[in-house]
Amino acid sequence: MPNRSGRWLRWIGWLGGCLVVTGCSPEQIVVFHPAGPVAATEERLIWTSIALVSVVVVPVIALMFYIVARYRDRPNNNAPYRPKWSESKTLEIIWWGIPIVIIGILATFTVRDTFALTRPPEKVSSPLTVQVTSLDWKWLFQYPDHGVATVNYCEIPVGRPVQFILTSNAPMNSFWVPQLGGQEYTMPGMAMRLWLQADKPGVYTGRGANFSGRGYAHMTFRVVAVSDDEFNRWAAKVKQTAPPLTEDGYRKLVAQGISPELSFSSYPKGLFEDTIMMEGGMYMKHDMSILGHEKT
Amino acid sequence: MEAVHGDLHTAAVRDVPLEHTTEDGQLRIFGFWIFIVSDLILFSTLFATFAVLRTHVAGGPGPAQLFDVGAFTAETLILLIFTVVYLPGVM
Amino acid sequence: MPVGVQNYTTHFFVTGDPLIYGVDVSIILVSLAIVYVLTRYRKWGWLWREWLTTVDHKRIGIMYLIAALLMLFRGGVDGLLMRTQLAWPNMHFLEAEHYNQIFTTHGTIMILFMAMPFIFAMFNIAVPLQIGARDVAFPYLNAISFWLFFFGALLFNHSFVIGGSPDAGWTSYPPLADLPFNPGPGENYYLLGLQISGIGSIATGINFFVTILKMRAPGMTLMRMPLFCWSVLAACIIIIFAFPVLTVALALLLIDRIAGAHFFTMFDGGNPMMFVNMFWIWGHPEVYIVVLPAFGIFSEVVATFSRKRIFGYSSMVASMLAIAVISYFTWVHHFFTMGAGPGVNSFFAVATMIIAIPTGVKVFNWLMTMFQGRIRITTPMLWTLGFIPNFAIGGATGVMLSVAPADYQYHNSYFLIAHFHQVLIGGTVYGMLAGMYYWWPKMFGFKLDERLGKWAFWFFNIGFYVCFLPQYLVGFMGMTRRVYIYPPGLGWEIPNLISTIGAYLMGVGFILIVADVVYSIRYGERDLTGDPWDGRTLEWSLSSPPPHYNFARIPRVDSRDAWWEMKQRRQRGEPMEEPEPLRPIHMPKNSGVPFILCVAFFVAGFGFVFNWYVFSVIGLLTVAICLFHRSFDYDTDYYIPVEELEHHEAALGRT
Repeated sequence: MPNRSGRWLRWIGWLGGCLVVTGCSPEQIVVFHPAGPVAATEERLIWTSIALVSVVVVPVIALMFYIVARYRDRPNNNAPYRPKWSESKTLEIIWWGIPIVIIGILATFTVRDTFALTRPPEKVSSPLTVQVTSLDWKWLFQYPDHGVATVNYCEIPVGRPVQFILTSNAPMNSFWVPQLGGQEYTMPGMAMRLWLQADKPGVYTGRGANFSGRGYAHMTFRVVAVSDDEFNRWAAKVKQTAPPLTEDGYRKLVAQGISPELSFSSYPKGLFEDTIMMEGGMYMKHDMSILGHEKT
Repeated sequence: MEAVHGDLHTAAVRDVPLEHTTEDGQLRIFGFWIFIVSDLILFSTLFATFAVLRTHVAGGPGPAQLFDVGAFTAETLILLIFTVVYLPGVM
Repeated sequence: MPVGVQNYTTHFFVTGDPLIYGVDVSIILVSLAIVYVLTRYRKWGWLWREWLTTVDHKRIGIMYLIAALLMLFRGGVDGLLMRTQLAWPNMHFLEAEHYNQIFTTHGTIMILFMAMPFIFAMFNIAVPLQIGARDVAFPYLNAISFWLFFFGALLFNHSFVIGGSPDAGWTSYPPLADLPFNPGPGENYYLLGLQISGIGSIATGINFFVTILKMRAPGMTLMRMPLFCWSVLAACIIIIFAFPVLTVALALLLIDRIAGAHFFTMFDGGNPMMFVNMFWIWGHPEVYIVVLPAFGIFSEVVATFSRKRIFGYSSMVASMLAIAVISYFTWVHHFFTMGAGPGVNSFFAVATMIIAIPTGVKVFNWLMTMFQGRIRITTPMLWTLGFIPNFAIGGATGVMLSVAPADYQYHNSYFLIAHFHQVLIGGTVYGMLAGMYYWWPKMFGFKLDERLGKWAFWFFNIGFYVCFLPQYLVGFMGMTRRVYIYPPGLGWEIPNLISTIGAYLMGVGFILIVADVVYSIRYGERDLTGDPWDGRTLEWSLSSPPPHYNFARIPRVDSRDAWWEMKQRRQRGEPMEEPEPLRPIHMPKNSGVPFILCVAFFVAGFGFVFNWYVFSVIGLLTVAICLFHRSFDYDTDYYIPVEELEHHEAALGRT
């Protein structure tokens, strides 16, 4: 037996070694390497929930192995056998009680953070607004404060809350930048707000997370977090050097296909709002208020 | 249900409506009520869809322009009242 | 060939893929082989009389079981193809179109055409026998349910070779599934296949609800029912309340697609969110529909093989009913990220967590049933023991997913994929396989081979962990579901490769199960007692397989575990009651109409798929004629005379 388990251990060690060699490094577990307060809150909640559920799961599995070993039907097993024992108020109260307590604790944290994450991570007088439109199969970012637009990448300033206003001009998708925070759907005819913030400069990979057809697997984008100064310089440079996004150009973007990263110095006025209105936004007063709010 | 299973005539008792006299008949009536329950869910879903989408006419004419709403509401009510009147007749 | 015809045939039959040509050839060969065997051995009449027209719940159960295993094979092959494509970055084994079709059919088949018929197989096989009934409440309707499922599944599977498979995911969200983004018949196949089999599911729900409430043997109060029957009752309640919502969602989407309506379209006032809500109002309860019967089976198996009463019976019943009710208040957790607002999300998050409490209680009760028992590790018990850690982990990740803000990070990632495979395979599939091994001797009169069964279990169980544990990790690495390709350098390679290896191990497990069945048909231990496991409930009091009328005399029940108590009394040498004299038994007659009715549904559905409304009209007219025929058919039943009963019982060695 020891020989056999030794071989198993060697196998496990070999596999673990492979993981390291092939570059499956801890940093690649992006959800556990948050780069901003939103992702950090979510990571904390994930660890809390893992700890809380382990309180039940680990003993259950251990208990099962113990019971099976102890009460096997073997000729010489002298463990007690009570075929009629089938009720115990005390025991039942214990295992209705323990999960209730655990769920109670977890529910409290959940509700608290659910509400917290709908507010900006920090109180700031002027959050940056980025309007995001998911298209087939690319991402369009518009900066209403600067009048510029990009495709498949966006730049944000470090340390400043960013409100992404999300919509879609294609089948629904989902906007996800794991290191900055969780995802939110992009829905045609709706405007939804997602607060994110980067605390460290860097390039963070985002991707469309909701299946939207043939090119869906290629819907990745970069989120580049830089200092405030660099961000302003970038915006000014795009304003000066990039071509404008015309109505015609937008129609080409909406057509199905994959696109490289692009920058635009301007975009048709009211493009984002009109897209939403046309696809059913007129029936959604709440979404219109998100847009109205962001204009003031 | 103390009735012996499957025996078509054991539950027959005087003063019981005809459709309740056999076990088969009783089962069918009970089953039919359960079916009505599932139908209620189905129609509630349709009504809910209507409630959500009733203003979504994309600029086209709404029910008020297309139908005489007052009249068809009244007609529906009259129809429904007739079914209620029908009930005591069969009970 | 005229261009028109050529164009038409190339669009009608799926062409251009060697995989699909291979399938075409094998379909033709298998069909020819079946026709040949049936003709050679003159079995057509037998097939029609004994199977296609049967209204016997045991035979219908067996047909459900065969269909479920076939669909498990098809869905499993889909899964292996996907895992092969994902085994390494930048693979070009499948292109996007094929991958999208394959994950769509994998999901749809596994939930609706594998899990559903598998649970219905167990309903049919065990429920009437456990409650001491001679059949279900509506045997004719039961046959219709089966054939509706069968032809719904057949229609759906046709999409692979005729017209093209659906490719919008098993959830089929509009606007992606709506006409502008998804032309072609694939999505219609999905809608009609599900619709037709869905009618059958509602009918089964009603049928077993009535059967359990109205047809229990004298003395079997609700609280003396076997727990499996309780789980079926709870599942039926959910079916009755949930399936109509799916019916509406599918019907409206179909009207969108074939009649140009705007319920869920992107433009002209459609509201795709409405579909998402309706889908999951059915979809979440559906998960409990398929897992509750598994809980029931585990309860039976644990008690039998621990030689002990089930622990905390009333708690078990209460928890199942609680799950049935709460399952309606959790659907939004499938789309926390759709912007419903923090209030709504909090409500549904907490409701989802609460459902974990009764589920956890059941696990403790199973453990306490084994505690101080005498545990025999047979194959059904092995699947049950495999289920407990599996479900504990799956349940725990479920609670993690219900934490709404954290779900923003898990949603649509491989973490989610790993979670629901862990509960659906670890719960439903393990449960159904446990049930299959457990009731196999009752159905067929011989046991499945234990040695092969154990090999199958270990391959499948180890393969399961190898396949799905790495997927939790790769989810945390940001891998999203339904991507057909990924670049190297993200650290996704190794976990995906391991996962693929695991998937193949599970495939080996499945092959071993099939091998077990084939081997045991010839060499399996014959069950002559009718009670091979030393069982506790009434089905084991009958011969294996039971006669078509099940019980010559309806048993009288005065406690839980009725058969166990009878055996105990006999062992103690207590005097047995004098058996009542036999009486003629009232039985339903076989009928070919359910089969014809469902063929008509199939024809109508096929017509709708291709917008060939002539077929639809012919099909629906035939349906109407069949219903009309049934309404005026008074020759539906017969009596088995006492002499024949005596003859049968004597042949079975029973008096």
